[in-house]
Amino acid sequence: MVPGGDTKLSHLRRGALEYCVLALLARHERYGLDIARELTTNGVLMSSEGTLYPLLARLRKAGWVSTSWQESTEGPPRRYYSLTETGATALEDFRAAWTVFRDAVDAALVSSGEIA
Amino acid sequence: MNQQPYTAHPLVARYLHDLDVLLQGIEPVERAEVVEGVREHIETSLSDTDRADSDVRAALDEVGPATAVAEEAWTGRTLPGPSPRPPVSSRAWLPFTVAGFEATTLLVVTVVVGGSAVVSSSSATVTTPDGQTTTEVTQSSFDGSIGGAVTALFAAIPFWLVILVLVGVSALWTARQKTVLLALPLATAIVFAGLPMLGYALIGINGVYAGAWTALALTVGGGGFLMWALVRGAVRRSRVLAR
Repeated sequence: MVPGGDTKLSHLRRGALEYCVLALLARHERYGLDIARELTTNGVLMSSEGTLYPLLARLRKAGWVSTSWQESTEGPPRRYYSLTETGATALEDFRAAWTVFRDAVDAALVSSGEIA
Repeated sequence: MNQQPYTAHPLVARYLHDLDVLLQGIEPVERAEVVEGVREHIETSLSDTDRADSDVRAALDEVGPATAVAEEAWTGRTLPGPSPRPPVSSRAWLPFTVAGFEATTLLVVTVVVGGSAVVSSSSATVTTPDGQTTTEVTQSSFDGSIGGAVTALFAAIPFWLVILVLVGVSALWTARQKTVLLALPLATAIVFAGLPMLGYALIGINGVYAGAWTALALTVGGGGFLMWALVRGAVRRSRVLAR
C-alpha cells in the first residue's frame, strides 16, 4: 500500500523527531510550549503540540533530557527541559548518521530523476 | 517545586480525563508525566488570555486530539496497539447496562415502598329515622412507615451492588455523576416514603394520594431525566474515546 501525504510524513518523522527535540535543547533549556511552538511552525515536524509530551517523557526516561522547575513572570512556574550529556552524545551520533542517510536518500532520488 | 493551581475549566478537565483514560496501561509515572505535561502546556498557553471558552478551545485545538497524544505515547508498545482502544469499562455498552440496572433498582424501590403503605378506613352503620340503614366511612388512616423504605433499599441492594461495581470501574462519569447514579435509589425511597406521609400529616388521606403521585412524577420525570442525561453523556464520551 502506498501511504498518503500525512502517513508519509508520519513515517519520516519516526526516529528523527526526538533528535530534533534534542537539537532544540542543545543551545539552552526550554519549556514545553516553547519547544512545541518551534516544532509546529511549519507543520512538517509535528502537527499537534500535545504529541510532544509522550516524546519528552521517553527522552527523560532514556536519560537524554532532564527537567527542572523555574519561576515565570508570565504565569505559573514552568518545567524546563535540558539536554544531558548522554543526550548530547546521542544527538552527535544522530547527526553523523543523518548526514549519511540524507545523502544516500538524495542520491537515490536524484539518480531516479525525482529531484531536479 | 509544585505548580500553581491550574484552570478548572470543564473542557480542560474533560480533555485531560479522556487522555488519562487512553493512557491506561502505560507505566503510571510516564502516564502522569504526559498528562501533567499537557496540563502545563495548556496552562502556559492560557496564561496571557482571558481564559474565555474561545481561548480554551483554541488552546485545545493546538494541543490536538487526545487520541493523537495517546497514539504517540503508545508508539513502539505492544499493547494496546497503534490505535489505542479504550478499556472495557469505557465502552459504549456500559452506560446502557447501568441504565438497565438503575431502572430495575428504582422499580424495585417504588413497588416495595408503595406496597408496604396501607390506607385503612373504619366505617359505621347508621340507621336513619325513616328506618333505612347506611354505611358511612367515619375515619381513614395511613400507615406508611419508614420501615417500607428500609425494606425497599434492602430489596434493591443486589441491583445496586452491580451498579456500584460498573460505575466504580468506569471512567465515563465524573465522581459527582457517579454519586448521583448511586444515590438515586436512596433518594427515590426517601421521596416515596416521605411525601405520602407528609401529605397525610398536612391534609389527611387525600394528601397521601397527592404525595404518592408527586413522588411517582418526581421519580419518572426527575430520575428519568437524570438517567437519560448521564447515560447520553457517557455514551458520547465512550465514542470520543473509541475514535
